[in-house]
Amino acid sequence: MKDHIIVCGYGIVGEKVCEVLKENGKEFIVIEIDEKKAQKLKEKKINFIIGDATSQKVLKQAGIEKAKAIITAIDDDAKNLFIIILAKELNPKIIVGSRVNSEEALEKIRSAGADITVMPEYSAAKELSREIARRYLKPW
Amino acid sequence: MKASFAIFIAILLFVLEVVLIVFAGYPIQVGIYETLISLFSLPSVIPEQSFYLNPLVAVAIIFGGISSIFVFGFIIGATIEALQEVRISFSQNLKDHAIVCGYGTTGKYVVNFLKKIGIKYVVIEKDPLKVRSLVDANEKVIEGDATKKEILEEAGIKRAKFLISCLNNDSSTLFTVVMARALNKNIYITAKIKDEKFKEVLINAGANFVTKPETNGGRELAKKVILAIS
Repeated sequence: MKDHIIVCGYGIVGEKVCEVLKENGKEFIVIEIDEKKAQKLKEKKINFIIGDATSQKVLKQAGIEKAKAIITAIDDDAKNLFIIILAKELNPKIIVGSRVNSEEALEKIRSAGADITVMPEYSAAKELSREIARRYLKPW
Repeated sequence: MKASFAIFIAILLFVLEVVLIVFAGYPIQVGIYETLISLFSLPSVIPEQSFYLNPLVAVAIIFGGISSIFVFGFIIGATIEALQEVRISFSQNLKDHAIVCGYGTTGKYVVNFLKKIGIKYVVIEKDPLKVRSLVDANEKVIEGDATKKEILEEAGIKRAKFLISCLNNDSSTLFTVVMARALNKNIYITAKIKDEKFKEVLINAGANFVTKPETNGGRELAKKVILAIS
């Protein structure tokens, strides 16, 4: 694999990430630690590795050195942070998109090298705001 | 109305007390003095024995006691009323406004957005610390549980146009949505949920738009990364 995207964690965020990547015809591989979730990946015919994404070995197995981007979608900021540091070390050119779970972690994840940071709570807030604006401007 | 009635009773009882004391043979000054001391619990100038000797004096003193209850009752009642008015007053003049339930990460963002777009709003928040910081920032906030009818009414739910539930508990969200819908048929209700399974329940309960942070976040994350690599 080359110029692909690595997705770490297949929770609800990871699942949605994969859905959008698939829709856009992107090549990607998922790293998931939970075997039950891996079963779901198998059914959906998504490439995956069972393992801990915070391990250098697993990241290398996912082809981090030749990957274009990595998306950390784990609900644990410390893990995401660690993966980002590892990923940047293994491939300094890699584009990093990260889920951020708490406001305190935002700056730390950014300074660790994340190019894109998304906080689900903010995304929901944006969605709610958009909906209100839509309704406000077009009341019918 | 009630306050003026209390004052009327109090004055009537005071006058009766003075009249009774004078009737019992004391000068009018003593009557007025006795009346006033019943308010402030000062020592009486009438010897205690005369309470037993002259029933008129005893009755007069009782009247004074009752009337002071009315006076204090009136003072306390008026104070509480005034305080309540201050609480309700700011949402009383709101109309076509938005009610934001919960001031966490999501609520904070929504509030900033409403401010930018120019929609008037009021926040309902349970946590006293967050309420204090909102009050300090001069924001309209009601401290309380958004699932409660009185709190929603205080926020002017009947005149509101939007309700945005940003609570971190799906069952509270459900309660809030049901209550809000019962109080206002036309209000536009949007809500954040934690569990996808609640989506349909909330829509059936009267929510107009329901969203889940993880789904929004996943979509945004993927789209931004795709944009960055292409």
